[in-house]
Amino acid sequence: MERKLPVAFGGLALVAALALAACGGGTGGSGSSGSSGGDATGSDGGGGGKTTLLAWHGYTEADGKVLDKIVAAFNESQDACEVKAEAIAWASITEKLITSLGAGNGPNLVVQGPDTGLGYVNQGAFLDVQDYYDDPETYTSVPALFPNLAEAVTWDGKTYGIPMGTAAYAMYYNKDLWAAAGLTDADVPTTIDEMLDVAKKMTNGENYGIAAPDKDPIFLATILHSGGGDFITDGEAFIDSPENVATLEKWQKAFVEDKVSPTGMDQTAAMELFGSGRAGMILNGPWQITSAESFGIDADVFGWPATWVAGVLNYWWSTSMNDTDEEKACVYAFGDFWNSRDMQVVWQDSFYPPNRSDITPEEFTDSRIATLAEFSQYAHYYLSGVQQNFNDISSTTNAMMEQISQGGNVADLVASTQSKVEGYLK
Amino acid sequence: MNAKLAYRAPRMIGGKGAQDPRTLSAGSRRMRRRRNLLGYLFSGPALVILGIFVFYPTFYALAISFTDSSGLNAPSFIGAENYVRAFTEEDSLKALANTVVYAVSYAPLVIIVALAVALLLNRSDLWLRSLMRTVIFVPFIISMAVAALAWSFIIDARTGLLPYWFSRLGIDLPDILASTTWAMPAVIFVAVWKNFGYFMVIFLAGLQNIPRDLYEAAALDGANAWRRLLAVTLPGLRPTMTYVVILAANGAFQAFDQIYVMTGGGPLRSTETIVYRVYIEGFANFRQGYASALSFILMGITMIIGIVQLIVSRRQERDLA
Repeated sequence: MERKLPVAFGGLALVAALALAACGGGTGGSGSSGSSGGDATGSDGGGGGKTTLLAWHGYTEADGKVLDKIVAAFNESQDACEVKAEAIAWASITEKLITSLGAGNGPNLVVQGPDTGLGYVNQGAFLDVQDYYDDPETYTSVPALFPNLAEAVTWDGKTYGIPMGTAAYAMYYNKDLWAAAGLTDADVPTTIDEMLDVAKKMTNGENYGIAAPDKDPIFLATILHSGGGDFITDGEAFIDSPENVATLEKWQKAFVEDKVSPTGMDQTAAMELFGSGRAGMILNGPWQITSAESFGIDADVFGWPATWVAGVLNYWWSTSMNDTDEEKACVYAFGDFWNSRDMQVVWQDSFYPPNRSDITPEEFTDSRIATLAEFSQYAHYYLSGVQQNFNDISSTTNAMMEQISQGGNVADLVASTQSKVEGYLK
Repeated sequence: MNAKLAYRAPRMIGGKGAQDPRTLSAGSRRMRRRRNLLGYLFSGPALVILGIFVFYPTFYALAISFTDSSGLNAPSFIGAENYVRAFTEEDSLKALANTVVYAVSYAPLVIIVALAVALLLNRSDLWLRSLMRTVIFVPFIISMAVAALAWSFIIDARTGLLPYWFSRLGIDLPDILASTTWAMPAVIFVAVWKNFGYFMVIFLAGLQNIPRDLYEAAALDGANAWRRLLAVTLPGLRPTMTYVVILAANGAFQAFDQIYVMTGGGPLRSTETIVYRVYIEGFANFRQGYASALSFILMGITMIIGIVQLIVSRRQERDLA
């Protein structure tokens, strides 16, 4: 009995201490908490007033190493700011971001696309970076950036993201199948019809001319825009139009009659088919380069033969954790450094093309990246203005395209999909 | 020394048989207070943890369920608007309907399978009985997400073993997880596969509590195996069955992991359950107040199920008595 009381008190005290420590929040020492708690007031433990920014991103492959290299170079280049980059799985970022920002210990910078970005902007979680774009004399990278990249994250006259990793989707082709079909560099298509002809030539009993994912909204948006139509822009659906019906009838013929691609594939299946060496071409992002290499496919790339193509668009977003001028200044400085000429040349090691238009061909170490860079100006976000119900919209349009690729009535399917998608956009 | 004070038999603290504190001596009262304090102190750490990680979040969620909280903004009180929306918004009603379909399918199926296997493994003459019990129980100890991921690969239309095996038999399976018809049965199957081992163990314990002489008496009366099952086994398992039904029903209404991993609520929301809806509303649609309201509605539903089950069970026991 005599010993039990002190033991009990000790246990209670230990639990209380642990609970208080867990609920206290990080103050700069922990890698998963924002800097505001400890350093944003201007004084830190020993950095002499350095402002620390915590940056979350999901690049965990070779591109993550390049990112770390650029971040380290930024930290060495000046004494006012320090960026700590933390790699977290993309899905985890989405789940952790709301709760961490709500609790006041989130990151200062986060990499996201325009899809999730708009929602956070509307909630006040992401701040505009208009001051960065309005001061090209201080932030000298601004004039060189592709203008379409800023447009994708501009709402109500304010721009909210700084380009981080962007690329236009492009057509990657199997050089062996290309040559086996008797094609040369002169046959690189410049129109959609030419591309479908090339796909027909590469289609034989064993192989398909193209791995076309009829269950992928990015592919659908790209072919609709390329045919003079639209998909979803500024939160409005434009699926039901004569141009889209004509485009989809053309592609239906390619699937059903010319059999240039199997049907019922999502993007993952399309990549598997291309990787198996049984598809001549695939529309994909820059990760297709490393994917092809991993499958042992000798692949090259040409630009999508149209002036609108879906793009992979990732940005640095400044979060609500940045509530001091020093933090905001560091965000802009880091964004400017990231998009500087030297760093964009380094960034190509991630197989992403640069975000700026003034990198000369001689500065590219890989001719495929040089090709991608030519088409960055045509990269667009395929679901602009959409804030929610992404899964439902994708499921609905995937179902439409899959039925079309298997011979369904195009006009009826397009009309019914238009009304369903309109319902999801309300 | 007073012999009476030299030794006192321990007294129960409260409850039957406890002595009225007013009749206790001062020393005894101090001893009782000390014992009470000791009890509180030893249960204190658990209560602190429960308070911080269970009670506080629960009351906080209840509070924000009456607000327009997005998790990022300062919430404003909106009364019962979230609760009204839950019963009028098409998405929530669809999720509720899917959850009922899931529960009505999963709970009976997992109970029947678990009971059948328990009856089989309860036979003392069964070869490798212990090994089989262990093997059947193993899926329960892996996480649902891992199980769902594994089964996603097995039934994948392009690379899965299951479609491959069926194709060798000349049967072309549909793309199960992309089918609005088959996706829900698939996620139910994974849950049954993972959990029936756990319920089997509970049934085994219940079966072993049924007196052997009841079976002998039934056999002497000419009852066959089926009759013994109906007349001895099932009535004997009634308390166990009550417990298992409540667990299975509660588990069914909380289905999330395998849906998140395998289907993402699709295709076309055909597998979206209430908990998945809570996740989407809270983390994708920035409506944490609404998500909290949905979760309390779910809590109410599971409580009602549990209460109804207990009432029915007690009534049956009273009838038997």
